[in-house]
Amino acid sequence: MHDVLEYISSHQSRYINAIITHLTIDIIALTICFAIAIPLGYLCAKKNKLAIPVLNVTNALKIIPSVAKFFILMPFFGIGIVPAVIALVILAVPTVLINTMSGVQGIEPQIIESAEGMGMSRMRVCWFVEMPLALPMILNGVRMAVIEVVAGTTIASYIGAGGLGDFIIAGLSQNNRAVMLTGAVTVAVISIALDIILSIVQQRALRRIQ
Amino acid sequence: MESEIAIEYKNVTKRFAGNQYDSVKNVSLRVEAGTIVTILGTSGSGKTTLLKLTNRIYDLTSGDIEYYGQSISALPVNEYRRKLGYVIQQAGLFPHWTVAENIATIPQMLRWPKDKIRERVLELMQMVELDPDTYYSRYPRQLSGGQQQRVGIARALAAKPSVMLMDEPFGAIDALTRENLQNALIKLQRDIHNTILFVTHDVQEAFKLAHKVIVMDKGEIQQYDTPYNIISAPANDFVRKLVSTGDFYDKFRVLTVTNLIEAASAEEIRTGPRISDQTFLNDALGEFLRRGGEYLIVETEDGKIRGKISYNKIRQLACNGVSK
Ligand SMILES: Nc1ncnc2c1ncn2[C@@H]1O[C@H](COP(=O)(O)OP(=O)(O)O)[C@@H](O)[C@H]1O
Ligand SMILES: [Mg+2]
Repeated sequence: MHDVLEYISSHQSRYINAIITHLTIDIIALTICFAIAIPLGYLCAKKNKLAIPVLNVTNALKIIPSVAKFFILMPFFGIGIVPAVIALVILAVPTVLINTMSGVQGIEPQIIESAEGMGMSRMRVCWFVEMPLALPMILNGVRMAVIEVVAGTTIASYIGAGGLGDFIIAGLSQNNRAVMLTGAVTVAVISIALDIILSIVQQRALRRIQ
Repeated sequence: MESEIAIEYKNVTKRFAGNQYDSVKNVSLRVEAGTIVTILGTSGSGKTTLLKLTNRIYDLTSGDIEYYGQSISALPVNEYRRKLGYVIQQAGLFPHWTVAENIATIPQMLRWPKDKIRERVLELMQMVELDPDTYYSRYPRQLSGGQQQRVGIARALAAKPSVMLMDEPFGAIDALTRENLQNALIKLQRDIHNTILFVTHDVQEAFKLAHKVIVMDKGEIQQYDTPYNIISAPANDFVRKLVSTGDFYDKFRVLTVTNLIEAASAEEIRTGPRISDQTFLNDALGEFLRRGGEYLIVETEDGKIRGKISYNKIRQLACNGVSK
């Protein structure tokens, strides 16, 4: 552990840049993922015809372990940040989509029926009723997706995306434990911190509707 | 005098896709403005379907429904629905909104100014007998079933709808609370004179609340008349069976004293014992047996005199009512 801290202090700017790159990739991938998965999950909850094909695809994707998925995607998208982001989006979309869908489907039908019966427009029902009530489940998906993406980005270093995975690869190839641990421990700390923050947000959202 | 018609059904039929039968079949009737009409029938008789056709949750298969003389299919759907209050079983309150926010749903949509909304919410909470100091900022989960249903009713009344649609609103509520809610609803309707279409499978509830009862079976209207007329002249065997359990006291259990009210003299009003107009006849009969005497003075929940009920009238009903 001492070695790790020493390595970090002697390579400060490289370390910070790696963290920034790592998080930038995560944020871009997650933003795109949410923009696709939440609306699509909502539509699937509402339209059975759409749900069946979409679920078939997402279930197929879910069977493959996430790391394997990542390497399978590599040859299709080449190397660099763009293919890494694409792969990460594909990695995380099913989780968010399925959670959004079950969150919306789990809302008591009486609530929606009385909202519509009172003359609320579809848009209003979606925004003021369904989204807040599905939020805890959506956040559950978000939480899992964040962990998947942060971990996935580490592997993305293999296809030249940069980020904290670089330390792990370098450490492994040079047989240098301190360098490898620098990458691994930082990724672990980021994951745990994000998970704790998101679980608090999720608890809050849950408390509002129960 | 012909009263105004709030809702008119004209040969209304509904068959759901994939069904071999009509859930609502050739229904024609008029609902007078300012009255409570209950829709009574066993489970699956088409009561909910008829109600949901009325607020366009379901589309008609054939026929037409008119709202104050206008075909509802010609009205913009959300605007039309905001003129109807809608209350269902379990209330369907929004769990993430406070009582006040729930009640303010429609005024909020109609963009009323804030202080007008607040004023209206307070007024409605008084109306449904929920203390604003205690309940204004509570969440639905912090209320009992009966209180939730009161909020549901207040929410439906918020924008002063001329017609209220209620689908077994008290169905999941214990007997005593249900009676309180029924009495509150009757009182409220007397104050604001709105039109209420009320679905129930409970014969007593249907007869107690209604000016007129629609008896439904297999999607068809079996009888549409006042409680008294239905009891004294059931249109067919189905109605006869529905309203009777076979013993002598049947009609006394479903009719309230309201059905037999006569005019009372000033002297009688001054001296006569009082009884609520929500009292079922069997309880009134018990009162006669206990007290003796020829008549009781009938008053509303808030003490307005409606007239008298005489022992003789009850006797007459016992002697000739049902067996026609
Ligand atoms: N959405 C629907 N799709 C198909 N059939 C329905 C639907 N809603 C009701 N039905 C059928 O219509 C009939 C009347 O139902 P409903 O109006 O709910 O009865 P009630 O409210 O009197 O219990 C039943 O046979 C029911 O199965
Ligand atoms: Mg029903």
